This record gives sequence, structure tokens and C-alpha cells, in this order.
Amino acid sequence: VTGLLLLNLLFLLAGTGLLWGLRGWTAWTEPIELLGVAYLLGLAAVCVAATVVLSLGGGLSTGVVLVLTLGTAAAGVAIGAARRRPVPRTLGSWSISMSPAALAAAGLALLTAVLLAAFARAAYHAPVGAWDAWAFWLPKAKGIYYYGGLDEQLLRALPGGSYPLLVPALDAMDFRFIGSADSTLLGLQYWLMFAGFVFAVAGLLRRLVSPALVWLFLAVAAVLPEVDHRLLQLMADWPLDIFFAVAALALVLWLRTGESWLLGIYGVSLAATLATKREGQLLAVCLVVGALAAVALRRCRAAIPILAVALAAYVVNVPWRIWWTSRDLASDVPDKGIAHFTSDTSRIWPGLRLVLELLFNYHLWLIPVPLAIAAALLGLVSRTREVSILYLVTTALAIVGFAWVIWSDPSLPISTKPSLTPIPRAVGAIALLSIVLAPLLVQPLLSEEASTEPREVRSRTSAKWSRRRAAARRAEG
Amino acid sequence: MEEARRAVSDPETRAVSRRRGRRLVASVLVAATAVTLVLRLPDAFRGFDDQAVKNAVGGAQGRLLATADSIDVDNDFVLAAVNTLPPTATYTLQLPPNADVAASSYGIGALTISALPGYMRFMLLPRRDVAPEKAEYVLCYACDTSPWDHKTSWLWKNDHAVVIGKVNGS
Repeated sequence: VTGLLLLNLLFLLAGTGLLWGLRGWTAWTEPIELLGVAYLLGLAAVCVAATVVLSLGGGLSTGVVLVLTLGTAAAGVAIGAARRRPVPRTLGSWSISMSPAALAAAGLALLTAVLLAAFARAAYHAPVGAWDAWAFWLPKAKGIYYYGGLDEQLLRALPGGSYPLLVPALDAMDFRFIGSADSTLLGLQYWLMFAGFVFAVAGLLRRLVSPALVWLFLAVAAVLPEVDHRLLQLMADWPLDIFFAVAALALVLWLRTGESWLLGIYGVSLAATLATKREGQLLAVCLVVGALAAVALRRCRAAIPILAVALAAYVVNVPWRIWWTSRDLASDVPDKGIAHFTSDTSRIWPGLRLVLELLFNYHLWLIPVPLAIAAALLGLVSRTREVSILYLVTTALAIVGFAWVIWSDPSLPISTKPSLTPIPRAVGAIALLSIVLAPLLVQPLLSEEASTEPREVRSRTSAKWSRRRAAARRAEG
Repeated sequence: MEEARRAVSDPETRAVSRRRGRRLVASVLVAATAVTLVLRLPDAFRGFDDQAVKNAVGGAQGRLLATADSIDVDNDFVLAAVNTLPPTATYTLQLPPNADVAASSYGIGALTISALPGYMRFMLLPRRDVAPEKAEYVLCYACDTSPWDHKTSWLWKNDHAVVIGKVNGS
């Protein structure tokens, strides 16, 4: 376990350096508040870089991992120095209040921490159970670990040989630092990623949404039946959903605040989304189109950075595409091709119904999806129009996209059984997107009556958050 | 005068009542989320506890063989293969001629037959699964051993027609 924790500390170090390069710190409280963001950013950046190293013929030895992590941190520091990012000069302060809202927030944060601690016990030494995990995700990781890089013979023998590499690369780095290919310790890696996600969302939303609301939804995230059931299955679905949700949240926050460091988070998370699973391509397109729809009416110029960063996120994944296409590995699109929309029209409605049935299943996802949709619909006629449009368009496109996956491939049965179809896992991305955007969608509705502030400042305690945002902008230079 | 004032205030009143309506709906949504959380908590904690207990049962070997149990693979065979084949070995896995024979003669289910090659590859890496003619070791899971008998030294076997051998001269 020590080795695994050491590797994750290196991810944190890499992300901290990168985050300082992107935004700088004015007080020591800032890096603590953004600890989860730094960790996920470092993990995503290093793992994407690792997939590039593998695609270029390299391996993931301890030395290479150290170069990747420390190099990422150093690159962040170099960017920060070049852009004259501020270093913390004050300790900063946390205003401790005894108001009911503050006590509720503290209670919910504590509850989430207790849930995560219980989850950690479940993650420790969890055996490998899921078919896809032992059939190809873990063999790929073992191959990288044992053979010192990508092994063409092994990849040809495995199902899904052309699937993206981020999760096998991460698992292989874990094996390297653990000192053996002990897959029963990988549950902790997935748990760390989820805990990092929880604190990253809390950190990103801290200035815009009431903490009680944020921690309410994060506590719900920790008890989602599908999170508890599938996170430890060591497959790529939850890492994909986590990266996608963070990319979407960073993009939404950039649209709200205009703080450019959030584009960096969006870009790295989107690159990781694309590097994690084939569905990442679908989700990335849905998110980008959703964001373009959101800015289409009032500020078309915002489309340029959205598209440019998405393009950069795609480009870093090109080496892997070249690797597997040049070796004629099986394609990563449905058997009949990506444009085959109407192979069997009789499957369109059943496919769509299946996705909706799974997405709105209370026993899988509780209520964040219908709740976020309701809040977004209300937001269309209030002051959160951009966030609402982005969420609704992204969700609608993802639903149609997942339905297309089902209807375009006759070999996939129209079934809700997880062993027969990937859709129960795939819709997790929409559920997690709903969780992270729900606080942003609900908060303005709750504070609507009392608020008379300008458009960007939309929460009841906006003065405090405005001060913090101004400080962040100053830090950004 | 009164009518004119009402004409001005009505749109504002409507806007205020719409905002109040949205606020009410949002409050209901938050309350529903809180109730959902409370209702889910006992099951969530129970699930975490059950998983932690499950992880501890059987120790390291139990965890290693959890998947074998789930797909009904002979545990002894898996352990023997892991212990017998050196890390650099090549091997071939031989199965019953078809699922009917596997089921009727040996009581081996179709799930086991379909899962076994991938599962053994996962368990035996870095050992390589190769074509039969290139294999140094043969793992026979209720297979027909006659093509191998004359060129194989059988190293391990059990009562369930499962054997492991080293191909002579390889």
C-alpha cells in the first residue's frame, strides 16, 4: 500500500505544480481548498502523458514515472514563473460561522468523510470480480508492467485491443510502485480517485454555491448505488465518468466566471476522458456541442477557446490512435461504422427507451438526474440559462448517443442486464454530470427572490464569493 | 389612477410570483435530495461493511481465487498452474471438444468454458498463451489428452480430469 500511496502523492505533487502554473496562489488556504483539484489534475495529466509514452514505444518504469510526475510539476512551476504567478504570502483565513447553513454544511461534509472512510474499508483488498476487468483491463496493465510497454501480441489476443490506455497505464504504474501485480490493491486507487473527485468538486464550487448544497450532493454521490457497486470493479467506467464530470464542471465554471485557469482543468480532464474509454469520444462531443449551444446566442467568441482546448485534448490522444490503426487492431467504433445510424430502425425506440429506463432508475442512481433536469428546465426561464442549456443539450445528446450505441449494433441485446449491455455503466457519466451541476442549477433558484446583484453574482452570500473571486483573478494576474 | 397602477404592478407581481414558484420547486428538489440521502444511508453503510468482511474472508488466496469461484473454475487447477509454470513459460490451454461434452461428461458449464481462456491468461501473465505447437506447457481442462500423451510429461493432475504437463523437448 505504501507504494500506491507514494505514487498518488506524486500525482498530487504534479497537479499542485500544474495548478500553480495555471492560476497561482495568494494564500496558503487556496492550495488546501483545491487539493482535490490538484490531485485529479496531476493524475489526469500524468496518466495521459503515460499513454503517449506507451504509444511512442516507451515503458513505465519507476524512473519514467518519476520523470513524468516530477516533470509535470516542474512544467507547472516553469509556466507559473514565466507568467509571474503569485506565491502565497499570507496564511489566509476560513470564516467559521455558527449559522444553521454553516452547521449543515459542516455536518454534510463530515457525513461524506465518514462515508468515504467506510468506502475505503470496502476498497482495501477488494478482489477482482468484473469480467471486463480480468478479461482485458487488468491483462493490459499486467502486460505493460511485465513486458515493459505495449505488447502487440498480447493486445491482439485480448478483447478490446484498441480501447484507450489510460486505465491500464495507471494500473501498471500502481503495480510498479506496489512492487508486484497485486490487483487486489487497485481498489484503493479507484477509491482515491473518487475521493479526489469529491474534494475537487467541493473545491471548484466553493466560491459559487452554498457549501451546504454542495456537500448535500457530494454525500449523495458517495451513496449512489452504482458508485458503491461498481467503483471497485476495476473497470474504466468510473474513471471516465469522473474525468468527464470534472471537465464539464470546469467548463461551466469558466463560462460563469471567465477565469482562464479553469480552461486548463477542462482541457486536461477532457484529454483524460478521451484517453480512458471509447465512449469518451461520444461524451466529449456531447459536452462541446452543449457548451457551443449555451454560448451561441450571446457570446459566440467563447466558442473559440472551447473548441481550441477540445482540439488540443484530442491531439494528445492521436499517438495511441496511430499505434493501433497502424497495426490493424480491431476498430473502436461499432462494427458497421460510425455513420450507420439506421441499420435497424426497429431498434431505435427500444434503444432509446432502454437508455431512459436505466438513467431514471432510482435503484441505480437515486434522483440526481431528474432533479437536475427539473432545475435546468426552471433555469431556462431564469438567470442560469447558459448552464441549463449546456446541461440539457449535453444530456440529451448523450442519451441519443448511448441509444445509438445500442441500436446500431444488433449484437447488443436490448436488455437492462449489466452482463449483456454496457449501457447501465455508460449512463453513469450523465448521472455524475447531474450531481456536479445540480448545485449550480439549484442555487440561483433558491436565492432568486432575494438577489438583486448583477448577472454574474448570483448567490445569496455573493459578496463573500465575489471577494474570493476577485482575489483569484488578482492571483491569476 | 388605480387601474393604471395595477397595470404597472401586474407584470411585476407575476414575475415575483413566478420567482417564488421556482424557489418553491427548488426547495422541494433540495428536500427530496436530503430525504433520498437519509433513506439510502443504512444500505450504503451495510454494503461497505459487507464488502469489507468479504475482502477479509479467505485471506490472500481467497481473494486471488474469488473470480475462479465466480466462474466455477477448479481452484486447485489455477493454483497448480500458477505454481508450476515458470514466469517465462509459454503454454496452451486445451478444453473439452465442445460445450455438450463438457457439460454431460464433466459437469463443466458453458460459462466456465467461455471464461477460462481469458481468466487463465489474466492469472498466468507474464507467461504467454501461444499456439499448441509452440507451447512448452499444456494445461488440459477436461480435454482429450491423447494427442499430447506421447510427447508430454504430466506434472500435475486431479480427480476432475484436469491435468498440467510439460511438452517434452520444448
